Amino acid sequence: MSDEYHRDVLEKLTELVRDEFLEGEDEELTATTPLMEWGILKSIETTRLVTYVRTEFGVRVPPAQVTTENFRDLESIAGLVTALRG
Amino acid sequence: MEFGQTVAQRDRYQTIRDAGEYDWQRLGELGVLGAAIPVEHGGQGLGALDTALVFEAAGYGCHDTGLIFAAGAHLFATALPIAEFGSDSQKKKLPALCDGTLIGANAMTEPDAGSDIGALKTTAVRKDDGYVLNGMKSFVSNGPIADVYVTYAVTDPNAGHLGTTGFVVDTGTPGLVRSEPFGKLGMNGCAAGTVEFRDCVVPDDAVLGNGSLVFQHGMLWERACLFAIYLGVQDRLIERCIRHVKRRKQFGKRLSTFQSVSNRIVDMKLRLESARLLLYKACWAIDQDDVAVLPAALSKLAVSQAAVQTALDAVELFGGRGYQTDEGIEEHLRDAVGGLLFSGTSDIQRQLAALELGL
Ligand SMILES: Cc1cc2nc3c(=O)[nH]c(=O)nc-3n(C[C@H](O)[C@H](O)[C@H](O)COP(=O)(O)OP(=O)(O)OC[C@H]3O[C@@H](n4cnc5c(N)ncnc54)[C@H](O)[C@@H]3O)c2cc1C
Repeated sequence: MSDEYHRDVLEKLTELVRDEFLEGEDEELTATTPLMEWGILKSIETTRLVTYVRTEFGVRVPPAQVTTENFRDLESIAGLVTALRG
Repeated sequence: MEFGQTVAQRDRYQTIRDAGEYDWQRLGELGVLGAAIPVEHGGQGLGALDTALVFEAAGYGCHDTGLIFAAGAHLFATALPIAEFGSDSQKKKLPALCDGTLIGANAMTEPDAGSDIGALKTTAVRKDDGYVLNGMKSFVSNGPIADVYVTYAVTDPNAGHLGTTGFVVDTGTPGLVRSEPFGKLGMNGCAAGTVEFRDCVVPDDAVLGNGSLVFQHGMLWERACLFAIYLGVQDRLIERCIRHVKRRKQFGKRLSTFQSVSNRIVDMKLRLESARLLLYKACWAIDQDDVAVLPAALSKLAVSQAAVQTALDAVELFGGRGYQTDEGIEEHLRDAVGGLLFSGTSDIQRQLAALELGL
């Protein structure tokens, strides 16, 4: 169940980043692409992503959890969302 | 507006509003400087809504809006971040920040990083048991006179906006160079200047926390609570306009009998009361631990724009006297303009609101 949820979250987050942040220029985007390092998640994109997680999955990410470790790549964000869902 | 206020809130409001004389020490005694700081650290332990009421009362009572703004910058962007994120030794500064012994300042904005806080150039490089800070902060309220600075620097260039760290730096630390106050349009009771870090060495214990987290927390409170100053200012200004139009006669009649004059005042009141409700809602959301980004952005927009328009209306209602500096009307306009810029410009508030709406 949790694995399935994680997969679903990862899929939807990938879609968001691909369609909205990269506007289709996504050839190299994988679950472990370093989002911060590559400048894909700047402050506005991070805010959008946190809002998306809240509205799409009903999961509120506390500001203290918005860290470089948790937002390193799509895999770690999906892991965070899955963990926060409890 | 009195609905929903407890006796304690009303008493506190009246004490601050009617204090008569205001200076930094007095703001400490009145509990303004430490309103939102926990009681165990010398503050009043108030939530966001109660804190906003404190600043609203001070904005009404104190005619030096710059002084109350200085208190807001001190509380929301310096003392509060220390209370929320600080180490035990950093928190030892709080009683003195609350009683007015120490003055705090927040140094974020840089020549090339204003709205775009992800573009910070100030760096903090690890060395021995601390960090070496280098960089220029270009607009620091209380900067020329502060004792304690909360500042932000890049510590991990690969981590984008999350790669910044907040630091607490004391005046007198070698390498911290502050300017004389620079001239500005308004808020003249608050000295502002630049602060430069030149190989400024700070210990590990100067670290406050992740820069983005610390800064956003302070900004949220600022957008919601600090802007209550402008509610009090507008209350006072509207009362003054009403007295003026009821007294002054033109064409053999009191100005208040001209409907376009009284309509203008009704519109001022409408704008103020709408903005007030948004501000209270934003503060309430913070107190409920709800997501407050959208209400705070809307409130900041509404209050800051209302403050400018109301001040402009007041100048028109007073005519040539409103334009003369000795009447004390035009200064409200000069003091209001800054509100469109600090704590994030109007464009940035709209951007935050749009993001919250999923746009
Ligand atoms: C009275 C006052 C007190 C202040 N006190 C402090 C303080 O204590 N500490 C501190 O660090 N700073 C302080 N500031 C600085 C303030 O935070 C900045 O002025 C503000 O963030 C805007 O940055 P900027 O001046 O570099 O303008 P810029 O960011 O260069 O903006 C210029 C214009 O471009 C617009 N713009 C920029 N980016 C966008 C975008 N993405 N979309 C749409 N429009 C955009 C802005 O809205 C604005 O109209 C203070 C400012 C004032 C006026």
